[in-house]
Amino acid sequence: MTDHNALPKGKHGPEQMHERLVAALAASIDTERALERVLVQGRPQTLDIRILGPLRAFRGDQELDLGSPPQRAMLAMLLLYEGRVATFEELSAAIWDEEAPSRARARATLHTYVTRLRALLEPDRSNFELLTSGGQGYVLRLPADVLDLTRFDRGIAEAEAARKAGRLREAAESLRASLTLFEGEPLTGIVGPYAERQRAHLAERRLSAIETLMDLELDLGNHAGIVAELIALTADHPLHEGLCAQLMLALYRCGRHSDALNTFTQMRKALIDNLGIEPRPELSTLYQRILAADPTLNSVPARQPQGPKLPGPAQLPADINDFTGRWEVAARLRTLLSAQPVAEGMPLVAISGLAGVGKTALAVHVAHQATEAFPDGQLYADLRAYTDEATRPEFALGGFLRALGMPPDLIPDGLTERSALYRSILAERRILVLLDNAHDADQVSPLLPGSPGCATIVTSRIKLADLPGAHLVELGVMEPDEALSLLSAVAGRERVAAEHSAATDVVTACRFLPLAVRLLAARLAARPSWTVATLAARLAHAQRRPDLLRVGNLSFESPFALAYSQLTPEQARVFRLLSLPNGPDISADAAAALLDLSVSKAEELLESLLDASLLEISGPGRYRLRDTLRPLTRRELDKSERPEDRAAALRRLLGFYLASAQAAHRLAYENSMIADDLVASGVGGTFPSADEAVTWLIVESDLLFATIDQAVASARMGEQLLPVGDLLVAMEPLLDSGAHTREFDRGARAVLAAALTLGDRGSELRSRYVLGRVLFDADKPREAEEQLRRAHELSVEYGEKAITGQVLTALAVVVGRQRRHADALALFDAAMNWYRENGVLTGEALSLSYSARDHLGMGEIEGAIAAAEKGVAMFTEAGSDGGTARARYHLGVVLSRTGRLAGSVYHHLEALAFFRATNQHVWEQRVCLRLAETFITAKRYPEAVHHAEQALIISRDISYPYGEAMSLTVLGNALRELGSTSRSLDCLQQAFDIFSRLSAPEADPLRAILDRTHSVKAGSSDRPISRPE
Amino acid sequence: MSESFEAFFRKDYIRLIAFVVSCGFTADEAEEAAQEAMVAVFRRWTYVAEPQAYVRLTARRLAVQRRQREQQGLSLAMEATWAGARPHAQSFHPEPDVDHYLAIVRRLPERQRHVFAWYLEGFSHSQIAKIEQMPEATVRSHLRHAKDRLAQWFRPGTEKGDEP
Repeated sequence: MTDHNALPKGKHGPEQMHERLVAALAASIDTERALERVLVQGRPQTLDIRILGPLRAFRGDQELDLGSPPQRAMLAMLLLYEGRVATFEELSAAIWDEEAPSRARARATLHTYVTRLRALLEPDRSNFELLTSGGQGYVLRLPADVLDLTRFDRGIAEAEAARKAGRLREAAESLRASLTLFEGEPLTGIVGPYAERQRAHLAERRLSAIETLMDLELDLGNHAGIVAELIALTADHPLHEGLCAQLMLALYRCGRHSDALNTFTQMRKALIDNLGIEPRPELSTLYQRILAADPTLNSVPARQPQGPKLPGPAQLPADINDFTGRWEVAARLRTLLSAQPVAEGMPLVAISGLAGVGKTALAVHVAHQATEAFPDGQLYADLRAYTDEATRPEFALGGFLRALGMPPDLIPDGLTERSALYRSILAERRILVLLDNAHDADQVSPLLPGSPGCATIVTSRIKLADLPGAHLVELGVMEPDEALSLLSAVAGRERVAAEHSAATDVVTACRFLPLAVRLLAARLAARPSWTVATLAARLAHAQRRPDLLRVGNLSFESPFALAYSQLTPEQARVFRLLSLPNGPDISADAAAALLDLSVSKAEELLESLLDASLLEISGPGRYRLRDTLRPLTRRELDKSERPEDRAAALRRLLGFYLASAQAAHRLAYENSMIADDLVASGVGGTFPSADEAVTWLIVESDLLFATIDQAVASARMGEQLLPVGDLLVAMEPLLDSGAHTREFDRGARAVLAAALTLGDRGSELRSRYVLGRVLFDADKPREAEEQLRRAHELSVEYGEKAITGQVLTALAVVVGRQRRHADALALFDAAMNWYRENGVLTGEALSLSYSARDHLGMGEIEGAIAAAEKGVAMFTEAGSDGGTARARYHLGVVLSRTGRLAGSVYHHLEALAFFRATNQHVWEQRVCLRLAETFITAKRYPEAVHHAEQALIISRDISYPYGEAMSLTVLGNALRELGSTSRSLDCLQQAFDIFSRLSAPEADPLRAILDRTHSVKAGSSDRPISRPE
Repeated sequence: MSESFEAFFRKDYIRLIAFVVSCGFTADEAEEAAQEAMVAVFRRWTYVAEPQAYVRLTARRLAVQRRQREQQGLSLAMEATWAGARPHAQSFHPEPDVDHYLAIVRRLPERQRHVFAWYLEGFSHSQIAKIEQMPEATVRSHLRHAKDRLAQWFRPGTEKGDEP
């Protein structure tokens, strides 16, 4: 065959002619001018829709006419649904309220509006992409940035990121820019109940952004610039305590002290007049600090300008401002702590000495002086060796890990795991750890950071000779001149100098014990009429008293007796009763309940005891009995308070905690019904938001568990036990946060044992439910099932209705996890029936979402998707944004597993937007990781890399090593698919290192892959690493 | 999308016009269609997966539509609408042999012409099949025919372009 159809070669072939055509075109066309025209033509078409003010829409510079009020109301609802389907019923209800036209008419009218809106939104199109029909309604999906609310959300998220990275100025600017998007009241002119609710919601978000902005401005030292703004804001929101506190602080920092104080007075009056309540304790504390011209109020927190780190923990108790003496030993300790990190390990100092000798005061003082050497923060734990309940090391570790920014549900359970995680977090940080009142080396060892950059101070009564590597410091009593200068510092220099010999008698009688000297000095300071000689005489008298407290071999019993005898009866009662609860400290409002006093009265008395050096401050608005004095105080308590009064005081405290926990439960679970079913037996705290409610539970957790233990121990009848069972259940949000599972385990078992003894079925049911959940979390599904079955039988046998739905749901989950999917589905059905009968929409929705997994297990793909979708719809209907987002996550997982990748991505992205906006970082990380995996399945590797990187950044931000390693694994897999072999290996290696450090089983498959790749050389064709469940 | 629209435009604008020209349109028509198509892709930049194919298909469709309208006598009305956006390709004067080549290409049947234009832009058989929604075998056969015809017309002696 001749080559007759070969194309001419050389410069006459079509390819060459085409290239010459391109060259000729290039020579005659001005690409840059064309680009300019295209950019101009393309851009003005962008839509701009605003709801953070009157509802308005613009295309380019031109405002669009949005039509009649009902049409505008419909648009508003579609906008606020942000890409979710608004059903016909929802739209009708929002637009017409009561007087809706007939169903058919309504639909027709809605359709007319949709047609008009489409023409407005997409005038050039015949097939509409933005406003579409979605099954039972309509859905509006706008590109990013069209809606001002989306822009606002993004600005807030950016500000939050900048704030975390320490770029405060940038954060403030971003917030200011976002706030300008509000043009008056949101949704002005839109009628209907839906708009009304959303209006309040948006106003709340605006206010919260303003509060954050003001905080930033204060931190930036711009108090003068914001006073006027804050005055206007507080005028608009006269009962907003947060803004009031900010105004007080700004005024104070501008030197306008009296204005600052007046602001408080007005606020307090407004609160009492309008709501009949006192300001929050934080506000009162601020007021008192301003009154006392507290210099620390002026300090603007110093921050590294570029430091990408989160602010470290600052847990040290306040330093005593008149700390005196101990010059030599303090200097020695400073040298030991500031020693350059050396090869043999970190500086470790163990201070031992008698009770009252001032170990804690010295340690705290030295620690405060050393803070600069430990820029990443300071951790403090009271190990409570000399109380009824010494702190268990795993509990102390739990507190440390939370303080280090570890999300509670990611804190592992066991002591070993917690200790390993703690050391891995501290590995690259410089942190000072203070372990106060240690019992022995076994209690201390797991709490020691392993890295040379950190340092630890331990205090204990006995010498910790078996603590490896510790510098042992034995603290004796004070030198006479040190004791005298302490007396002078507290009681006044002149008075002491004038009666030098009497003063010497006093400190000698105190045996030079600092606590004893301090107690007496505080007495002296409170009694201007006394001479030092009077004090010495009274002390001598006290020492002769036959009924003198004799507790062990304590040398400050007479100073204590003297200090105690000087208290008013009211003060003495408060002081005695404070030793009753076993918790480490107590908040003012809880103390008020214990004492049966008003909060303000209780605070006043607590403050007076603080002045007498009988109490310590352990945090803002929190008080603590000195451990050294606790045995003496207990003795007084037993002597002076009748057992029935003591029991009543504990009951009041329990009632307060229960009522507060119920309020927290109600908020955390969006109007849960459990809370209403529990027996309220006191007046408790209230919380402005779910977050603050959960925070309260976390802060008070030690006290709550201590109260449970104590109440169980003293319960003699079922009625006394039931509130304890209720409290356990009401603390469920804390259990769900993953924190304190061990404490729950112990508490639930204690309640259960008592319930069986007393024959109280209500408490038995409650404790078995909690225990079942704990056991399930601990990966013991069989034991969990047994407890929950028993709980269910109790509710059937005795008609105990309170938590039947919860018990059934928990049981279904536990059964499903054991792959008995059919049984699980039956149980979910029972749970849903129960919820439906009792009108608990969110409970039904949650059961639906969970049941999707078991439908999948049965191979019912459609059933699984339907259940998960219905879960989303029901949460949406119930108005629960958080529930909707979590349900979307479940739906996304189901869709991804069944190969419906586009849908999975859509729901994950929706959920992601919500978790971002509400700062739920653990959820955010989880969703990002799922997205990355879904994109890998979809072979869209660049997007997979993007989301895996996001997950990685968040994990690092929240110090979540496990998540970091998971993210690195997924990132490594995605990078390998993209051909970035060396980066991929790098990620997998890092992931392997972290997993190994955490002793996680996920390390093994990685090791195999790394080994093989290293031996075969990079770029070989490995299988991708699958994610271990 | 990693690439910016502007970078894409600078790289691809001229080639896009060449493509439309290869599909049988004048340089004027091609530039106008290319500009409009670029506006379209710019507005959808964040979610257009394969902008090179998308913009070419759009430009060709626009050029076809425009020619149809002109044939329906609507050119005057269109002229008025686009008065301000008239492209500036009047100075386009290719060398005579390029002009001659284009004249030959325009005589290919439409389907062959289109497939050949994609081929010249470096699209693979399978890509062309996907874009034009035809089996790969059809793509191959269109290409073979197009090449056959062009080869014949280019053969010395038939340079003035006899019908095969």
